[in-house]
Amino acid sequence: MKTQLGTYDLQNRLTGRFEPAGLFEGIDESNLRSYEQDWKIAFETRLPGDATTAERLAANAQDARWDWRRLAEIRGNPLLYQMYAIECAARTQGIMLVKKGGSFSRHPDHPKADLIYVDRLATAPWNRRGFVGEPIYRGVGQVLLSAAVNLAYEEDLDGRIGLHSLSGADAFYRDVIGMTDFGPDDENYGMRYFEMSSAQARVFLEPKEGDGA
Amino acid sequence: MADKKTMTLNLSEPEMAALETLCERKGMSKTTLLRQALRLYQSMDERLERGEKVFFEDPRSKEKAELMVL
Repeated sequence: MKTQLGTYDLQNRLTGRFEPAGLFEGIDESNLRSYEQDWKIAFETRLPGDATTAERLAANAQDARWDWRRLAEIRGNPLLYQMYAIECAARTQGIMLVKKGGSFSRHPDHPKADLIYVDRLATAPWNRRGFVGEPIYRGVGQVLLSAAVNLAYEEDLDGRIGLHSLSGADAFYRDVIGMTDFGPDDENYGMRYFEMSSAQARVFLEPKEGDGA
Repeated sequence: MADKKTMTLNLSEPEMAALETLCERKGMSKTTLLRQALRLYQSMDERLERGEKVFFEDPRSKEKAELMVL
């Protein structure tokens, strides 16, 4: 089931203006069609089908092979998984899949405490530096992560979230979002593991200067 | 979040003590702990239904012990 959680302002970098974007819990066919008709075509236009790992990294498209329709099918158990989408200008601007159980904190503030695990998160290719010369919307990742943190509060998990990052997004999670970097995880393809502790979650959700402009 | 329903749970004294100990150790309410336990159980049950096995691994010896699910 798809439910609108709220409306957020995304800054259009090309015009400098803020535009209303809908944040949804659950995705539907329109999101999957936008992924298949807008995102996939953008990936296929920019990258050859046999692109190497290095080429995908250079294009900021390490997730180009993620199949969101397939993910929605195999991780469709609503008790364990939840998907989110953000829509603006009649297109899906970002999608996120989170796991609500069976993941535990590595943070020294609350070792082994349950948390929300962000299984996948992607912003549309036209919003990415490195993929296009002039990315369009700013803030898609932050809005989706705020949904994950809010879910962690709703689930009585005190805002805790964790994730493994694609290498091209390491700096985003560490420097922009302020998550703790626990380094490469040998048990997850050497991807770096990041966590937002309860204390970091409170800071993350605090209104920042410039919010609400 | 989906609509919620309320239920009464009858537990023996040792079961309630175990629940309360876990809640204290994990810093969770009883509802949250039982919800998380249900997710874990269902997730394991799905894997077992697919014919997979669930193991615990000793981080030092790498020895594996199969988890038996009731």
